[in-house]
Amino acid sequence: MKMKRLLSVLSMGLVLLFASAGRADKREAIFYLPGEYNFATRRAYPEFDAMLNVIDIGHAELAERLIKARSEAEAIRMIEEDLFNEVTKRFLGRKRRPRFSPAEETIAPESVKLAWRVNKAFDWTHFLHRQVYDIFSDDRVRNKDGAIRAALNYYLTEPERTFPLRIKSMRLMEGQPFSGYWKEHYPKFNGAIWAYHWLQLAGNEALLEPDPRARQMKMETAVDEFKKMFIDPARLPKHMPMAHEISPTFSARFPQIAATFDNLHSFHDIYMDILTNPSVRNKREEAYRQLHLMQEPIQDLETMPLHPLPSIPIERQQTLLQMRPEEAMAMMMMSTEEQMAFLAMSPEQRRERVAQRRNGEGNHPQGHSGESNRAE
Amino acid sequence: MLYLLSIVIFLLHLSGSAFAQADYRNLDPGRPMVIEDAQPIEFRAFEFQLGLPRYTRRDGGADALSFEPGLTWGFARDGQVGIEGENVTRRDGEAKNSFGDTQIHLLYNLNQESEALPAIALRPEFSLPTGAFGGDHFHAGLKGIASKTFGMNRLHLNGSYTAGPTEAPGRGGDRVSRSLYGIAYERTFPIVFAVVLVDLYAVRPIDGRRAEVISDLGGRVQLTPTWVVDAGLFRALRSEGETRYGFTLGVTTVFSFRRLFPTGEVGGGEE
Repeated sequence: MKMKRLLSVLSMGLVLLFASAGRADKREAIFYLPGEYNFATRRAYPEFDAMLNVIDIGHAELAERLIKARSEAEAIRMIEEDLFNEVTKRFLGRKRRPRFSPAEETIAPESVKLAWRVNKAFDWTHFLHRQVYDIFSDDRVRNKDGAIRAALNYYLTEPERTFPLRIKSMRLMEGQPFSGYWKEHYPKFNGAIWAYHWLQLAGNEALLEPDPRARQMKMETAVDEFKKMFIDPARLPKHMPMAHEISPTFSARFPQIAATFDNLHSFHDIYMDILTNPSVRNKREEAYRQLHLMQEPIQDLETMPLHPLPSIPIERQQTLLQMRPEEAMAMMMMSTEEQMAFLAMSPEQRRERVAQRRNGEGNHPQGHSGESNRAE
Repeated sequence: MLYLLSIVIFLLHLSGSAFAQADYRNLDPGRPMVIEDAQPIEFRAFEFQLGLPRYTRRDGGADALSFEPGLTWGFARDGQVGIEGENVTRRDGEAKNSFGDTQIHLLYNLNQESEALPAIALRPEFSLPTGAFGGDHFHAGLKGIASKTFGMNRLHLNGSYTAGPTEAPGRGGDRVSRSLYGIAYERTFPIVFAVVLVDLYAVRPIDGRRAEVISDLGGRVQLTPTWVVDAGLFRALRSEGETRYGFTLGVTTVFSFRRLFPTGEVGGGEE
C-alpha cells in the first residue's frame, strides 16, 4: 500500500516536472551553415581570431559577474577592475587565450539561465558575424557576394533570433527610462565593449581589401590599434561605433548585414542597461520585451540620414572614436562633407557646433527618430 | 554492422570538406562514461563517434577489446536519432571476434535549463541482436535524463528500464541492461575546452545476473574546432564479488552537409 502511494507521488512529481519543462524556454541549438570557408579566419588571421575569442569571453564573463555580484559596488569593482584587467591580459597574450570560440553557456553558465531567448539571438547573430569574416578570409571563395547572401538567407530562417535588416532608432538604446545606467556606472568596461564592436567593424572593412598583402596589413593594424586601446584605456571609444562610420565600404556593399550588426551592438547596450539598472526589477521580462521591440522589423526605425564617412585609415580613427555620444549623434544628421569638417574642428568648436545644432533643431532635440517612424 | 562501418568510412572521407564543430561538453553514453547529459546535438548536425578501443579485464584474467562506432543526427530542434554498433574481440584461453548488439536511439530534450528546472530529456532505445556477443532478442527501453548546472559544475541523473525477454546467462553484452540508474559529476574548464567527469551507477544486466555497481572517471577535450578526444577508466563491482576494470579512448567529430540547409530567399538577402 505504502509502495503504491509512493509510486503515485513519484508519478505526480514526474508529470509536474515534465509539464513545467514543456512550458520552459526551448534549447534549440542549431548548427551553422557549412561551407569550405568555415574557420578560414582562424587560419588566415590567427591574431584577429584570437581577439574575437577573447571578446566572446569578455561578453560572457561580464554578464556572469553581474549576476553573481552581491552588491553594485562589488559588481563595479569586479567588472571595472578585475574583468577589465583580465581581458586586457588575454588580449595582450599575458594570460591564456581560448583556442576556439567558446560557447557563452560554458563561460557564463548562470547568466544564460536568465534570458535564454536573448542568448539565442546573440549567438545566432555572432554566427553570422563569424561567417562573414570566414567568407572574406578565404580566397578560395570566388563568389563572395553569393556566399554572403546565402549566409544571410540562412540567418533569416530563424526570425526569433534575428536582428532587423534596417537600423532601429537610437532611442531604443538611449531614450528609455533605464537607458544610460551601464555607461554611467561602468564607463571603462563600456568603452571595452565599444572597442570590441569597433574591432568587429574594422575587421569587416579591412577584409574587403582585394589585395591580400594590403588586407593582411590592414588586419594587423586593426588588431594593433585594438590592443593599444587596452594598454591605454583613454583610447577606448567614447561612443558606440557604427558601421556607416567605421566600415563604410562594407556598409555600402552589404547594408542589411551592416544594419543587423549595428542593431546587435545597440541591443548589447540595452541588455547591459537592463542587467545593471536596479530600477529594472524583472530583468527577464524586460529583456524579452526589449528583444521583441528590437526584432520588430518596421517599427522604431532610425530616421536620421546616417551619411557614410569616407573610409578613414584605421590608425587615424582616434579623433572619430573620441567623439562623445552627443557629438556622434549630431554627426548622424550631417552630410558627409559636414562630418569631415566637424572631425577637423577643435573640441571646443565641436561643442559649439553641437550646441548650435541643438538650439536650431529644438523640434528634434536628440537628433533621432520620433514616434512615427514607421517603414517608408 | 558492415553497413554502419561503410557509412563511417564514407563519412571519414567526407569530413575534410564539410563544416564541423564538436562539442566537448556534449556527453554521449560510452564517450567516455555511461551517464549522459540531457542536451542533444545541434539541429542539422551529424556526430560520428568511435571508441578506439574499450578494453575490459575480468578477475579471472579474461579480457575483451571492443571498437564502438556510432552515428547521430540532429534531425529536429532538440531531437536526435542515432545508431551504435560494437565489434568485440574476447580472449579467454582463445580469441574470438564478433559483433555485439546494434542500438538505435532517439533523444528529445524538453527544455533549456533554467534557474529552477534542470534540462530534461527522454531517450527511447532499441537493441537489435546482430552478433554472437550480443543478445538473442529485440529489446526496447526508455531512459530519463536530467542535467543541472551549478557554475562550472554540472550534475547528470540517468534512469532507464528495458523491456523484453531475459537473455541466456552471458548473453546481451554490456550495452543493454534491464535497468540502470546513476549520477555523474562534471567539471568544466572552458578556457582549455575540457571537462573532467566522474560517475557512479547501478545496473541490472539483461541476462538476469545480479546488479553491479560501476564507477567511471574520465575526461573530454576539444582538440580542434572539429574533433573531440575522450578517455576514461572504469571499475565494476558485481554483487557476487567479481570485479571488472578497464579503459576506453575515443574520438568524436561533428559535421553536416550543405544541402540540408535552407539558403534560398526568405524575405531578405542583400540587394
